[in-house]
Amino acid sequence: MRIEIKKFGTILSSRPAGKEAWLAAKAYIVPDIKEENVEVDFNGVQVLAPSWADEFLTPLQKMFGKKIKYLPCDNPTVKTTLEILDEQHKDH
Amino acid sequence: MKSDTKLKILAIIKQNDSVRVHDIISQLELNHTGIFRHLLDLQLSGDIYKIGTPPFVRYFLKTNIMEDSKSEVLQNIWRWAQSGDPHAVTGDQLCPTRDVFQARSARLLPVLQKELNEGLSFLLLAVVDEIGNNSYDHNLGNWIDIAGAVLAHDETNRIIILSDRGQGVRKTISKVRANLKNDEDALQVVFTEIISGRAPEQRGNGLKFVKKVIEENNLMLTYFSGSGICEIVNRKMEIKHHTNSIPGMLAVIKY
Repeated sequence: MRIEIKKFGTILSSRPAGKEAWLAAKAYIVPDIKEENVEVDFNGVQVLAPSWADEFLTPLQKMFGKKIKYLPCDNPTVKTTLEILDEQHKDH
Repeated sequence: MKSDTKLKILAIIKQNDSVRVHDIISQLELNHTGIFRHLLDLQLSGDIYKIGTPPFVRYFLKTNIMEDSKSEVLQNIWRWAQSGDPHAVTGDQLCPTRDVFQARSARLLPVLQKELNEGLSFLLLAVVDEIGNNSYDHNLGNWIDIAGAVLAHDETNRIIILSDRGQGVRKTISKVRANLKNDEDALQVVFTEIISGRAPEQRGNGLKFVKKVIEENNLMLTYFSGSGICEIVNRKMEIKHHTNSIPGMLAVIKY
């Protein structure tokens, strides 16, 4: 199962927007995933800020753990945000 | 983006507080014509200034962006941040709600893309959004007088300014960090530690992201809150005391 993040927008930067996106995903996308591996595709995203990502990716990570795979992406905001979130998850 | 030689010159001036031109020439072992050209460029770009007349000229870093900036936009927003004077900012700068802020910050992207490479313009917008969204995350219902954040872009001086009349960084984290001594302490914490003023929510990585992007891309940030300043210049962060207090926050990103 692949989650295309660009379907939630190309500039993803606030907590309320991230939370809303996660609630929508949980209602309509996540139930279909079940036992599958989850691929997160950031292709087409212009700006991903940690606030949005924390509201969306952190609960996704909690739900699926090692089944999640972030697909390679050249966007520097995606790279930096994932690095920051990774540090945050290590600290907690 | 500055050349390697210019970065070295800035580092030498910063290390010594001020220098004479022959100090730079002897350290870099380059010809004096090239050094003078770089010094002139750095003055024109607003990074340094000089005091004295030949042969006693000394070069200094422009570290106080408020006193040295030629930006009228910045001076007006500084006045607003200190006093709340509603005439100091315009209607297209003040964003009363997050929705207005998000719409206006998104409009920055095509403007930045004309001046910067695509990746850097994306990163810069992410920084703007992190700082601006913090205003709404932490001050909703707690504004001193005027609700919302100010967002302004001075294209001539290549700066982006954000400000709010909120409760300020120290008060924001005082419940989770009761032992803070002053505003400088509070700034040190929010820029270097993962901590949330909205505990028990797991959040508080935005300003670490801002610091990382500013440092890795050699941008400049001056962030005022209370009597503290966090300044990131030449890839280094420094926390200082400031005599003119800002009750909420004012951030200047120079690119």
